[in-house]
Amino acid sequence: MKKRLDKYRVFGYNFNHERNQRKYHFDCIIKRGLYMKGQHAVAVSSCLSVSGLASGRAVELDQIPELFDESDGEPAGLQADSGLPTSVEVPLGEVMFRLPDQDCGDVDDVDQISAEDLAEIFQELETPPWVRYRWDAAGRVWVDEAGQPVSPAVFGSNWSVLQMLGVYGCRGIDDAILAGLALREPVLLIGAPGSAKTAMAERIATDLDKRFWAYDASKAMFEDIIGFPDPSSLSRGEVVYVPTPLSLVGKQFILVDEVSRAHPGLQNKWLEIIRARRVMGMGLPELEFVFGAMNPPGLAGTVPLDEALAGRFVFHISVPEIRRMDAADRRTVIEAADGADGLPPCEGSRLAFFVDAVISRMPAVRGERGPEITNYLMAFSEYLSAKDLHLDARRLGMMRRGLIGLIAAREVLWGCPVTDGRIADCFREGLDVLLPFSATGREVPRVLIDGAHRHAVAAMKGRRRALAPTDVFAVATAAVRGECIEDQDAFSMAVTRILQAIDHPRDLNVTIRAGAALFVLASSPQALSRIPLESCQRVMVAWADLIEMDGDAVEDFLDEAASAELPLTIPEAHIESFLRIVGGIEHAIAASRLPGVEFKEILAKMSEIIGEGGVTW
Amino acid sequence: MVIKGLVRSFSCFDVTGYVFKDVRVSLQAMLESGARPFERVELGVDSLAMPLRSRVDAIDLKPLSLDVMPEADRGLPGLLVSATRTAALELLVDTWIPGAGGPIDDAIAQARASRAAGRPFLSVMESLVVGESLGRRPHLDSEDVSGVVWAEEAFEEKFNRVARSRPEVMLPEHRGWGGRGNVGVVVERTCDIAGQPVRRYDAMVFFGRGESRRVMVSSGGRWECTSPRKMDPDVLKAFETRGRAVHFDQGDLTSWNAWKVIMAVRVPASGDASGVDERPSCLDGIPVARLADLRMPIPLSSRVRVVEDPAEALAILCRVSRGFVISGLGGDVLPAPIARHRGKLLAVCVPSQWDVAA
Repeated sequence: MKKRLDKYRVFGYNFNHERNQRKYHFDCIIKRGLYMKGQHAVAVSSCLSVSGLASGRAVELDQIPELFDESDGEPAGLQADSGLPTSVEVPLGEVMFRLPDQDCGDVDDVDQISAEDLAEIFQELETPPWVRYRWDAAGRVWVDEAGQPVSPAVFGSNWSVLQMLGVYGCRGIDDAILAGLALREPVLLIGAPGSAKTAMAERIATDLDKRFWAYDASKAMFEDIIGFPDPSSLSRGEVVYVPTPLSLVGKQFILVDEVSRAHPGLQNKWLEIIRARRVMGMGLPELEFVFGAMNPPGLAGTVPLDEALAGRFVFHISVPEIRRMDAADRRTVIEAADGADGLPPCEGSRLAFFVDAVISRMPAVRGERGPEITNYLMAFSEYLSAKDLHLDARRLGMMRRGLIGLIAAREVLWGCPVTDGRIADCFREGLDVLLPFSATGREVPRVLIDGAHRHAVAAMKGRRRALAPTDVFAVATAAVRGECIEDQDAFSMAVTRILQAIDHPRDLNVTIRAGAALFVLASSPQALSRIPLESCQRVMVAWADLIEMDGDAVEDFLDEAASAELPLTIPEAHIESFLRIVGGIEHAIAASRLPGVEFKEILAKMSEIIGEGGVTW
Repeated sequence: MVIKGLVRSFSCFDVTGYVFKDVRVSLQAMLESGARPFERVELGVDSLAMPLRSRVDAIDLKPLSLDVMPEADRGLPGLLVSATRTAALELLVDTWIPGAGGPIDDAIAQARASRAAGRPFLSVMESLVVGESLGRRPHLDSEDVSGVVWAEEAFEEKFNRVARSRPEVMLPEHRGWGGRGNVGVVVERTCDIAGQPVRRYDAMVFFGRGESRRVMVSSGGRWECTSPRKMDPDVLKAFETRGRAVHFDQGDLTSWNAWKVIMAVRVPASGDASGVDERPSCLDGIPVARLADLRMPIPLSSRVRVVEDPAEALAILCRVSRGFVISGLGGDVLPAPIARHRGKLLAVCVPSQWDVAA
């Protein structure tokens, strides 16, 4: 029986059922693992959150492959409005389980499970692993009845590691927290008041047995974090600070609470502490873990986090609010007595059991997935840049480390490698905790992130797509690079957008970008030979019109060109390209001369575009 | 250099007569002037030609023949300027030499008859007077101005002296005539292109005012932006001695700096034949190119290829749409705007930054 149960591994979130009615109600996701055979076959997807949806109709088994058309590496068809079920009622005894690393499209390998087996599975599922298994403090591992070590995956498949510490409803952020701890990178917790951010940090630190202090950045003063100057040191010509119980010296794990409301005089100090683990040039070698906490921007009385500070945190984790938890978690949170839940203290860190496993897994992930992640991030940032949403090199580096950590954490919690078919989902979910926009209050539409993700996934798989027609500059540079413009109509629309943006300027950035796109296209016969004939002609007519100025404009242009200086932001290696763009400075720059746009703005924008690597012809 | 201007011909009492004719002025005088040349170069939409037109077609100058005029000026188009229109009209009645016919002859004849009969005679000459309100109109171009007698106020509003040193030469005031464009000078020169003598224009375009006056000069097709003081003396001399001051009325001549000629094509003299569908090999790597009058100051190499073969020329020119050669188009018939230039050489141009050899 044990062997059989090992085969049937259910993994997913929020698994609920009602045994007394001999019916199981899955009102949330079982990660691509649970199907039912017979008249009420069903499939549920890992890619959608269906929490709170009512039960839907059953799906015949032969419909399952349609739900998982993986032509693009992503489940297709299972959209919230698709009309397909995202939850079903499943008669006992007809539920099938399948191994997590098998592709979902192939239903032949789905085995049927008996009611007895299923009951045993559910019994296991309902019993927390920390109850089923025993902590071996000496070996610092969990062991089963036979004293054999068990995999971290037995915790991760249906239970939350954080729940083990008495933090409920946070199963969805287990992996990000573990990745942050494994990487020793700063973690920012974003959550409403009362969402247990401070308690989470404190319990993690306690379990890891680290010297912890939670600073309230809105109130903390210089003396609080550094200590007081020792007057006697002044006579020796130096300033030595006398630490207090509050000061940073000696702390191993700190929480910078209310980091978005940090005292203005101390913001730079926090920057130094969070990223460099230094303060006033003095190293803090014992400081291993830095967590920050803030309320979500937009909440009454809260403020967005300064971009510089936000950029120091690798992980930006939204802590679930109780209203978004399922009923079981809500009940547990309400009933849990403060400080009385979770496991009692014991020797050795049970969390380190998982963190160490993630650390051990990371080199393999880096080796197996590193190049893919880099390609993904390059294409992802390229897409966002085309939308004037720029990720700097530091953030991209952080995202790469973060994705490696997240994948390693998932593989540890799932007990199996993340398959090629699921890696894209992992990246997408990783974006939710690695992009810094939410903390700074910058509203970036989800559809934009999704678009960038799809573009990056396609590029990662070697199917580089033409960017959406709205990315006029990106479309132009893609044509120059010889990338396939699959949809010629879309390209014609892009040219129309370019011309509209120039003829009817509304937004300076858009206009300059459109001007640059026009210039890039008109400058490349190779690009022009790849685009539709009518677009080719429109581009050249528009370019010829654009470079003609009336007398006063030429005069102004010459004045501006004479006094303009090359922006210092142009990397030396790109100066030649830049000069090619400004074409002998004097008149060819007229190609970029746009109505109502200052010369210096063109220079700045052009240098920015070059910085993106967009001009390489 | 030569400029067409209203040149003072005579003064008689309070009336000054101007005639329209060529006059030599110095380049320096033009640079200092805030006036526009009468002659305008219209860079057409497709710039397949650089026609010179005189702005006088908007004023409708009439030939003047007065016995107080120098004999050499008689019969030249011109106008009379007077503080009071009565003085000018009386001078016309007194000194007009009939002969050419037309409305002035008729009006003068009627006026003289009326005066002889002791009747008021000025009213019959109303049609010869340009309204005194003319100076307050923003643009003369907006409606034709006929008549030979100008009120002094309106005249001074619309015309400027070329320079203090040449007070007798009047040109349209720079801003008083509406429209846009640049003042400049063109010089015709003969170039050797692929062993053929080809007429082309050198051009100089003025920008700025006073001390900040600058010029963009194209000499032999190569453009530079400079101060007149720093110009090559030989180039300066060519413009000074053989140049013709013009107003570039439409378009921006200097924008041709951003193009280069990659080949010259002679429009077939008899072009009834259709082009061929097969794209000529000379258009390989050139998806699109712009056609222009070869005389335009567009950078080109003396080694540029001249397509004289009518069949090949047709294969190129039949692919023209809106002034652009689209190599992907199928060969059709020679477009009418191109056919008008039979026998002429047209320049096939591409953006100067293209890495395409001429």
